[in-house]
Parts: sequence; C-alpha cells; structure tokens
Amino acid sequence: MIARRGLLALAVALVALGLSHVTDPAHAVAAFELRDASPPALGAVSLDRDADPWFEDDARRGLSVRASHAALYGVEGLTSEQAAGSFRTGALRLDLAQTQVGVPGIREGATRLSMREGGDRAVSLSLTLERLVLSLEGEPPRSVWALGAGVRGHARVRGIRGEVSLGADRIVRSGAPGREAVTPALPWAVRLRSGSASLEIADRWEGDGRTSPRLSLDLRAGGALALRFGRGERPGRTGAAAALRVGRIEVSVGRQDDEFGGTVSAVAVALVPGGPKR
Amino acid sequence: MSRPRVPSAMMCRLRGIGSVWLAAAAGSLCAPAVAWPRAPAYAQTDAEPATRLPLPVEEIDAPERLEERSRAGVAVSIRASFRDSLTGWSTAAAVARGPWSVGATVRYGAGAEPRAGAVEIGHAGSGLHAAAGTVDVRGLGVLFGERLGLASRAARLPSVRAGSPIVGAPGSGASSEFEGVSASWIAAPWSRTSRKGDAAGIYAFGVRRREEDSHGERARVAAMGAAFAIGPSTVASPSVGVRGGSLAASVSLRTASAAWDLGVETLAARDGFSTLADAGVSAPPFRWRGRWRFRAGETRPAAGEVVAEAESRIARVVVRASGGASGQSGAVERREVEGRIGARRGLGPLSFRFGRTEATGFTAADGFTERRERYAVLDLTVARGGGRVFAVTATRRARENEDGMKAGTSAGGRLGLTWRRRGRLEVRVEAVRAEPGASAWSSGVYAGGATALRSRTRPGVAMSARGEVRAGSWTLGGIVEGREDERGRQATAATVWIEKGIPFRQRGNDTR
Repeated sequence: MIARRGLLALAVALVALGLSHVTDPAHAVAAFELRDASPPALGAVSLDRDADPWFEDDARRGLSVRASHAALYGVEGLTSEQAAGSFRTGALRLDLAQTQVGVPGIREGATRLSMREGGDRAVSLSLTLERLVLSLEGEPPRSVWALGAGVRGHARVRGIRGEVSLGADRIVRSGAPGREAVTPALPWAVRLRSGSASLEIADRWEGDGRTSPRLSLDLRAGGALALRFGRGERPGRTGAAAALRVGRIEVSVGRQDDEFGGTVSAVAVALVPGGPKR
Repeated sequence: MSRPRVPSAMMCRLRGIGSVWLAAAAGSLCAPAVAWPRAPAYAQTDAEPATRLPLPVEEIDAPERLEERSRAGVAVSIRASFRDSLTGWSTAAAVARGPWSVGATVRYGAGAEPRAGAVEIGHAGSGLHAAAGTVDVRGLGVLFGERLGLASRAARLPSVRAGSPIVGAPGSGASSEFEGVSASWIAAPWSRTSRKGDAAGIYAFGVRRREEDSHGERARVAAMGAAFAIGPSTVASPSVGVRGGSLAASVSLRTASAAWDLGVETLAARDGFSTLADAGVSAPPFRWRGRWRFRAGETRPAAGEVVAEAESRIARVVVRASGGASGQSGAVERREVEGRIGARRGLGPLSFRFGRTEATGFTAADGFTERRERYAVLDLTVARGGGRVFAVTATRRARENEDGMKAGTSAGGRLGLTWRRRGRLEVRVEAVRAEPGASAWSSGVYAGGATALRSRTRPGVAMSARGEVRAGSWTLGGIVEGREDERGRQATAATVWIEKGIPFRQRGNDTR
C-alpha cells in the first residue's frame, strides 16, 4: 500500500512536472488542473476552466459535438485530447465531456457532466459532476469524484451587457487515495459585451492562496469568423485563437505561449446545431 | 379579550448585523399569548442601519446570541448541532390555555443527559411573566448590565436603553451562563414615538453563574427596577442591583420627538459615577448622532463617537469617528465610512465600508504596542430576478505594526433563493488569502439569521449554506459550513432545527 501510494505520488509529480516545463516549479500545475486545452481555452489563456463559446448563437437548440487535440509544451508524447457533446433544450443545457492528458503510460482522465441554465434568466445556475481518473501503466486506475457549482448574473448598463460568474470548483470531493491531489478553487469572471466584441476579466483563487488573473478579448465577424486574444499572469502567458464556421461545421485553432518558452497548440472540429434559437 | 402583545424588537435592531432574514422571520412569527417573552435587541451595536454589511464578530457584543432563533409564536422546537458528530441538542415547547401560557426548554449534551433547562409562565392579558432555571438577561441598561457582569463591553459605543429587561430561557446553548429566577410585568409601548422594545413595566431577578470563575466562586447577581413613562415622549427606568456584595444603581432616560432623540444613563457604584449619553437629530436628508461615555475608576474613562449620515434616493453614506479605551490601558481610534449606492433594480446596490483603526496598548510581555489597520468590506448585488439574488463580496484588511504591513483578503459571492415565500436558501462561498502574520475575514452564517465576519489566518476556501422551508405551521431549517485550508484540512459544522408555530390572529387577519 505504501509502495503504491508512493508510485501514485511519483506519477502525479511526473505529469505535473511535464506540464510545468521544469524551469519554474513554483508554477507547477496541480493534478487535474489542466481542464481544457481546446483552441477557445488557449485563446483565453484559461486551460484551467471550460471555455466560453465562440459565438453567441451557440444558444441554438439541439445537439452539438466537438473534438480537439493539443500538443503540450513541446514534450514528446505529451498531448491532450477532448471529446464533448452538448444538448440544449429550452432553458437547460447539458454538457458531457471526456478529456485526457499525459504521456503514454501515465494519463489523467476526466469525465465531466455539466448542467447549466439558459442565459435568459437574470441569475442562472450550473452544476458540474466530474470523475477524475489517474491511470498508470500496470496499476489499477485511481479515481476521485468531484462536485462543483456556479452562478452567473446578467446585467445591462447603458447598452453594455455584463455577466458576472462565480464558481465553487470541486468544492466537494470523494475518493481515496487522490482526493488530496485535487484542490477546491473559486473561479470568477466578468464579461462585458458590446456589439461584436466582448472583454473578459477573470481570475481563479485556489485554496492555497494562488491566483492567476487573465484578460481576454473576443472579436466576431458576423457568425462566420471569431478571434480571441488573451493575456494572463502568474504565470505570464499569451494566447490567440481563431474559429471559422461554415454551415454547421466549425474549425478552430489556437496557441498559448508562456513566459518560460512553453507552447501549447491545439486544433478542434465541431458540429454545431442548426435548430432554432431557444 | 387579550391585550395585543408588543411585536418583537429584533426587526429594527438587526439591520446593523447585516441580514434581513431574521427580521422577516420575527415579523412572521410574532404571536400573542405565548410564554416566550419578547426578545429585545440582543444584537449588539446600535450601528446606523445604513447597509446590510456584516460586522466583525469581535465587535458584536454577545456574539453567542447570533445563534439564537426567535421563539415568538413557536410551540415546539427541536434543534441539534453537529461538528463531525452530534455535539448537542435542545427541545422547547409552549402550551397556551386562554391568557396563560407555559413554556419549557431543555438542552442536552451529545447524549440524552440534560445539561440545562428553564420554565417560563406568562399571562398575555396582564403582561406578567416568570422564569426559572437556566436563564439569560437581556435589555438591561448598558452600564448597569456591564456592572453586574450580565453584559460584555461592546467594542462600539451603543445607544442608551431605557425599558424593562427580559429574562428568559436563552435561545441557544451558547448563551446560558446563569441560572436563577425572575418575575416581571411588561406593558404595551409607552408612546408612538418610543422605539420598539422600550416598554413600561417592573422586574426583579436573582441569578448566579452556572460555572465557577478563576477564583472558584459562582458570582451571584440580583436586581430590580422599573420603567415608566413621563409625559407622552419620555421613559425613565431606575434600577438597583448587587453583584458579589457590591451595590450599583442606575437611572436611564430616553426622550424623543420626530426630529430628535436623547438618551442618558447614569450609574452609581462603589468606584464612582459612570455615564452614557447619546443624542440624535434628524433633518432630512441629514442625520447626526453623538455618543459619549464616562466610566469611573478606569485609566481611560472617556469614549466618544460622532456619526453623520446623508441619504438620497439612490445613495446613503454614514461617516463615523470614535475613540476610547481598549483593554485595561490601551486606546483605540476609528474612522469609518459606510454606505450604499445604487437602486434596487438591475445592477446594484453596492454596499461598502472603509475604515481605519489605530490601537495602542501596553502589555508586560511586549511593552508598548501600536497597530494600525485599514479595512474594506464590499458587497455588490449583480443581478436579481425570479426569486434569486446574486451578489459578489470582498474584504481586505491591511495591518501595520513594528514588523511592517501585512494584509489578508477574501473574495466570493452569495446566492439567495426563495420559493413562494415557503422556502429560502442562502449559499456563500469565499476564498481567503492571508499573509503570514496577517488575518483576513470570511463570512459566517448563524442560526439566528445574521451574518458576521470571522477572522481567518490561513488561506483556504469556505462554503456555507443556510436554508429554511415551511410547510403549514412546521418549519425545517439548517446551516452547514465547510472550510478547507491550503493543506487540505477540512472543518465542517451544521445545525438543524424543526419548529412548529402556533396559529395566530393579528389585527383580524389569519397570517398562518
């Protein structure tokens, strides 16, 4: 048991070390902290949370699916893949996503089910249930269940639409060993929308006192082209991403560069619903 | 026909605590003809009710009373507290027959062994009330209560209280330090201009501490007094009491008109005379108030406070400056601005409190000490609608001493949900950061409906929820608090309660 726990700790450290690109252990990413390495997340320099959609008409009813692949920090074999589906009906949206990251032999996997209320409400709620699995070659997988919640408030001030969101990320966890490797956090964001542009200011307060403020700008050209630029601190990082939509097909690319020279690049393909807006 | 009872005074006094929950609950549960006495303002500071911002726990006098719930109109209640496991529970019941009512409260430890109890008898028509057992005394004159050891010294200068105190079973297990007997007669409010809670009557009680003090003694306290009207707008309340053989006498006077009010309390004891005075003038949109206190026999006997308030349709600002003693030989000065900006529609309001304190003191271990602290508390309502309210909160404390400047910060939000006036839920989540040697505030919720700021020295994430659901005359409620620090250590506490109300009629309307 002690040997297995030590191996687990070593495996978690190896994955985290790979993600931290060695040069600055102070900015090492904790286990399961890389949540989304898709292009919209890279553009928003926010690998630690689910990315907001590109286009506002992503509120269309129906089913959408997407898949992405990301190469992480130039480490051979260190990749992240994600497959996700969303179903929107009425005032509710369900998201199911499967994400994995790591190198052959050591991989983190996350299955995430989210329920979110629609944006017409002044105050909308969301609930997220995750199963986080650490797989080591030759060892039985270790899993942790985590529950989180969020609230989003909408306001309008002089023609500018504002959104303030606050989350209680992984506030309840169960599962041993491994529970201690997953820490709760308080992500928050303020987004201002005006016309075809929106600006987001966000941060994430970790349970150990770390913060990671970031700023991202979205520019849209109708319903076909979207650009996203982002800048973050602690660690310093810059992101850019673009999405092109033709009919129901959406292709996006993105890249994030951090202050230590590490680079994450990704490509994604999505099939968006063509149904009426809710 | 029974005389209508005076409604609870908590609705006015709780605004300083920063929660509207208990005010609404008290208003809905007020009932005549029940043994439970009116609960006067147990809450502490008579701070100007400018905002809904919570106060730090250390500035609240009798913070243990934050856990108390109003028993007005409650026939049966059961309450249990948990911290990882059951730590204690209590039951209370009241029976009314005609104008008479009898109530009993029993508290238990983790097992079923009773630890304390009280019995109360009341007569609705005459206003007579008697209590025996583990009791709590509230509503005494400020200086009189401190002198008898029945009230702690408030960090902020309070207003003068003139009226009959209330002696009865405490509302929570944390506030029952005394056992004894009491008898009182309380009449209706003395005039239309009287503040809710100021009522005429006479009282007498004798209590002793349930536990021995550091000297191995159980202090005994006895007091008697009265409150009566002088003219249409003045009430006076003389009182005399004895504690441990030391006699004290107090006279409180409150008078008021539509534009001003004045209160004075004078205490005579072995070491001299002490005085508390407060006066206020209202000239819309401005209000001014001054308070002054003199405690005989102390190193720094005087303390004072000046408050100026301005209010408009969309904003309200209170400026407060005070100074006085701190501890045995220290002094503390405070300057504070508190207010609210914004309408109650759309984005806002923004409630804020900015302040600065300077404290000096002398201890045998550290010698002369000086500490300056700046603080800020913010609460912004982001959106509301459909029975939901979402607000973001933030606090910051920056303390400067000989070692330099250290700061603690917290940020988070609160979500309020209501369901058809039958249920409500409030959820708060916060992340706390504190530098080594500094402390930050995080919000604490209490069973009584109030919210207060608690000091934290370790970073972490905290979540709390408080909820209540009503079905007919039954109410089921609870509080859950969880906190996790940077090392993953968790602490969880919960309190649940079940109450059954007494159907009542007030002004001819059935408000069940």
